[in-house]
Amino acid sequence: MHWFLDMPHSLQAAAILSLFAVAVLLSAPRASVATVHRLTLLAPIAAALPALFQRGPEAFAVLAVLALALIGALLLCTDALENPIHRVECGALLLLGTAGACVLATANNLLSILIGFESMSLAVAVMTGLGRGPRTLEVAFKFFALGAASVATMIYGIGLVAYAAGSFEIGAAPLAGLTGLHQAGLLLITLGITYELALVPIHFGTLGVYFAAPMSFAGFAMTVSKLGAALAVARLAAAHPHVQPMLVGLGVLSITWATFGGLAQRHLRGLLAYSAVGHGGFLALSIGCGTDGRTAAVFYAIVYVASAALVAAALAGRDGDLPYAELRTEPLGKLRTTALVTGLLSLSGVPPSPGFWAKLAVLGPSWHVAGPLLTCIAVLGGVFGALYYLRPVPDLIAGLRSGERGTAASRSAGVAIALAGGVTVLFLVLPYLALRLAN
Amino acid sequence: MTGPLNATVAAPELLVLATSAALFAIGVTGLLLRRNPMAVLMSIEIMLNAGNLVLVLAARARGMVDGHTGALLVLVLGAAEAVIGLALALAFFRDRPAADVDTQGEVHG
Amino acid sequence: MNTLLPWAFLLTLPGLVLTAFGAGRRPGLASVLGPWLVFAAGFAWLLGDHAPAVVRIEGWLPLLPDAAFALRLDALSATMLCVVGGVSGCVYLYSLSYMRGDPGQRRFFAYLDFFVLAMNLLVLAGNLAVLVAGWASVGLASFLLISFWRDKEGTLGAGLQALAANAIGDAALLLAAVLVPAGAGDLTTLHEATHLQGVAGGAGTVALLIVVAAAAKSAQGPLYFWLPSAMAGPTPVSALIHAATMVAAGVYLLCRTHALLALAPDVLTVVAWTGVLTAVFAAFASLQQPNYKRGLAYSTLSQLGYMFAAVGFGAPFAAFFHLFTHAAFKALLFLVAGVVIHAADGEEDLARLSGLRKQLPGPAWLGLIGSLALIGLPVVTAGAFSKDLVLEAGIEHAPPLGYLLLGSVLLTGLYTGRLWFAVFLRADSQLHTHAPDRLLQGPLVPLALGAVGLGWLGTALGTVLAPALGPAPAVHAVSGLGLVAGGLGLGGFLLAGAWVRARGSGARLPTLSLPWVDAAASCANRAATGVARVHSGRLGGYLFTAMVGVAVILIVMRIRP
Repeated sequence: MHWFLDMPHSLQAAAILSLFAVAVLLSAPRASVATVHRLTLLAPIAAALPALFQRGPEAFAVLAVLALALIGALLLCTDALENPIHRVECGALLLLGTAGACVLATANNLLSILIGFESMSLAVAVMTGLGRGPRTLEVAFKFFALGAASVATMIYGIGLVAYAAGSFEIGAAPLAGLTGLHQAGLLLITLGITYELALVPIHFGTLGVYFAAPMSFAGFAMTVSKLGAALAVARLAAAHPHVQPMLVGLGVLSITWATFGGLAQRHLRGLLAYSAVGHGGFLALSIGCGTDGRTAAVFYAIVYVASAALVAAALAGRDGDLPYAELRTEPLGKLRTTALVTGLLSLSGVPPSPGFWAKLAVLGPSWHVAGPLLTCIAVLGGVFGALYYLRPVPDLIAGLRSGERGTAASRSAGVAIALAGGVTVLFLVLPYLALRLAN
Repeated sequence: MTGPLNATVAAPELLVLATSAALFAIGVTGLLLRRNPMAVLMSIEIMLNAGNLVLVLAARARGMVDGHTGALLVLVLGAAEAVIGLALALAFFRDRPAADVDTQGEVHG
Repeated sequence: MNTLLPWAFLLTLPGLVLTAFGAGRRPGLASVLGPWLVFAAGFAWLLGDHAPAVVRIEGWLPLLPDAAFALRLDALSATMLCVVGGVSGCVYLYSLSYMRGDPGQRRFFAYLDFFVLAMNLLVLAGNLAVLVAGWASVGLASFLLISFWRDKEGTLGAGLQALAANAIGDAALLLAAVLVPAGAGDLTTLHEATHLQGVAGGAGTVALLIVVAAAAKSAQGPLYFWLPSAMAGPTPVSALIHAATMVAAGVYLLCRTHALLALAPDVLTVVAWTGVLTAVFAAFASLQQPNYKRGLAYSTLSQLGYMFAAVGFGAPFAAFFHLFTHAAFKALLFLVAGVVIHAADGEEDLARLSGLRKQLPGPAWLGLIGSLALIGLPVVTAGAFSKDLVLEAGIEHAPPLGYLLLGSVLLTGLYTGRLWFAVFLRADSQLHTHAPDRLLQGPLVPLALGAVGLGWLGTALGTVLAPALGPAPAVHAVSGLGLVAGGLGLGGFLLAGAWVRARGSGARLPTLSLPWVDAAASCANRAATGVARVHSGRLGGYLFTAMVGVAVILIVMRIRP
């Protein structure tokens, strides 16, 4: 047993998750759906046990990912699948994807990055494909194709780096004369990973998933995948400073792109999709701004995934695009609406919300490293984003009073909302908690 | 088997690098120009294998054992991707009139 | 006690929660006490020993230079608390009657509570981070309240306009919060030289950012566009937020940081010019408006211009004193307008609202008091005391601007007169109006008393505010300048009366619109649609864009080292 205990926490977690995934798949024919669901819920909790009382960035990363996976598992039973039998497979895929995210988030080795990224990406692709309706298949295929192209680029980059440095470790220095290849390779690897961060110009695949995948899987992509990718990119940027200018540039571009794109949206899913792109931009900008920037980035990431999880939980199980015009005629239930409004406020970075503290934290390192012009663009993009985030809010709040019961959240979705909501409000009132976690 | 840890690129290595770059370029070109989903998937596989080639080169030139492992890993991943890709492509294009990747989709905007 | 008082901003939170969950026999009844408690808190401090009460929780907000949660209750914030608490207390009572029967009442009072909370947080902020939090929250509350009526056309658009202007201000203030280095976030010590050494451009940059933020919040200069549109919200909202308190927050900020602004004389010149030009142009614009509330909105813009100009002249006390008196009489005027509109079933067009003097006698005379205060009739109205101070400062520091402001007092009289005479000159309206109930007219009385009497508090106010705003100039009840200004104002008022008598209540100047706001909005919309169209739904397009993008990135990254 000691070989298990000697493994790093992320691998322990990944191993436990994979075991549970296999168990879920094997038990499916005989056990009831409820049992399978409970197994899926138990998995992240079990996987978190080894890391639960440890300190340090690795344990924290694993715990964060697993907490988000728990929320995803809670939401699992709410979504419409093409064939309800596939719920079992989705559960297993969720666990395997989380395992990949754990590995990705704590990777010190380029091959770990590769494995983690692939597991996550393929899991999301298949889960999306299993949803109901032709739109989900469409976005699944596009996500897969673009993702596979990114992975291929990443592999090429890994090869170049391995050739130039003689090792797969992230911090390995290039051998003399091969710096050019080394740098090119690192750029390609970073570009590949930012596929999951939804940075412009390689955001199309993830944008489609945010648009049309069943909400809990889109939520998974928005939270778990993003967190894993962000942490991996942060490690890369810490070890190899020359990718940072690229991250800064792409970040600012994504923020601007997302603000304009979001302004054109007339339905909630579109809003959330472009919001995710914008937040990916802020993450990249902040990661690219030196050590302070990376601390700010982790803080931002925690706050962002809490808010995104809250929004995903609020919307889970509600089919369709959710156009704004419909929000008054078919209101969401009271709990959902409150959760959604809180989440939207936090995502938009308007006070009082933790998202605001996060944006404030990012701006400092950005000014000092990225320069005044880029920071101004980022700030303007961020504050003008409020114009599209807040557009549905008056209708949402007005819908609260309506006597008709809107679609109520199922119990597990309710628990998910409570979890995510609790964390978000906690960060609202006591932001330094998030920072302590980040450190 | 430790290969020579040369600091500069020797001629045969340069050839391999060039081949892999050409393969990657061919893959990208195919990705952009071909409209049949199968062709798109094949182009992606070509790109993947170009990367794999560089990995193998690295493993041999730098004497990295985990480099060879990495190459095998990439092969396995490529196979898994091919399976999933083909399944998704089949499911998606089954009911569509043309097997054309570039048709207008429903999800846009 | 002193450490408890700064937490006064939370006093409306219980009301918010109770109202949101439906407590109280009537919606909103649970919230009515909140503002008066706030007033009491400010008043209690003013009665005390005037020692600033500071709350500071270190390390609260991570990663900012000044990471503390800092509240500061001193003379300036206590006075503002009294203003906010008093005016909102009257508006709450008024709204109990005004909003009766509206299905969204609970929501309305909850929003109002949120607004008062945010405004108090802004006022009580001790450092830039908390100030920005309050600032942006106030903007959010304003958006929610402007777009309150979901069934009416155009309220959401008006709200988004307000949000857009607010965004610019927020961005400027955010940058200022980020720029000011560690330990220097405290608002009262911003100007100390040691803090500004590390900042690029020094005091000038931070001062400019603060001025931009204040201009956005107070709708000065090119950022005026959202205030007239904000009249789409219910009238109590216009009275509270867009006349007395929120738009005054910009002036408050400038007064708070006056020492910093004094270090950047160029910025002060900009402020003065902006204020004067806004005052003059807004006065003309008010004469063009066919809508009652919009006419008042432009009047607010003009008076805010006076306040801005006073800051620009280096007289923060004059600006703040004018804010103080303006809150009373402008809120009064808006609430009177609300009574008229409510009685006339929502009719807002001046041409149709004529002749209501007999049907609505109370509002008529209260409105007259407010109007006379606005034009600054000496001795009997408070507006004269404060406006004279502004004019004195102007003539002393920048005579051309000062005389321009003095001349625009005539315009003030004109537009004020037009608004009052148009509705109340005649007594022969054909409109069927319901008599306003006591709850609707009652809260107007304290405001009217304030409009008459607050001027006499000027000297006391000056003494109390001296530590915060510097030595205050003497406040005269009667002075030569005051008589000239009063005469000009009264002349304009009576001229307007003659004009309305001649042309009817629809008398106005022809409209001249500036299309740049619409142009900017349509530009942004086109850009947004363009971006959305890039996401075309065609995989080939995605691949192409992605690959080209990657290639460009690689090339750019290889060219730079």
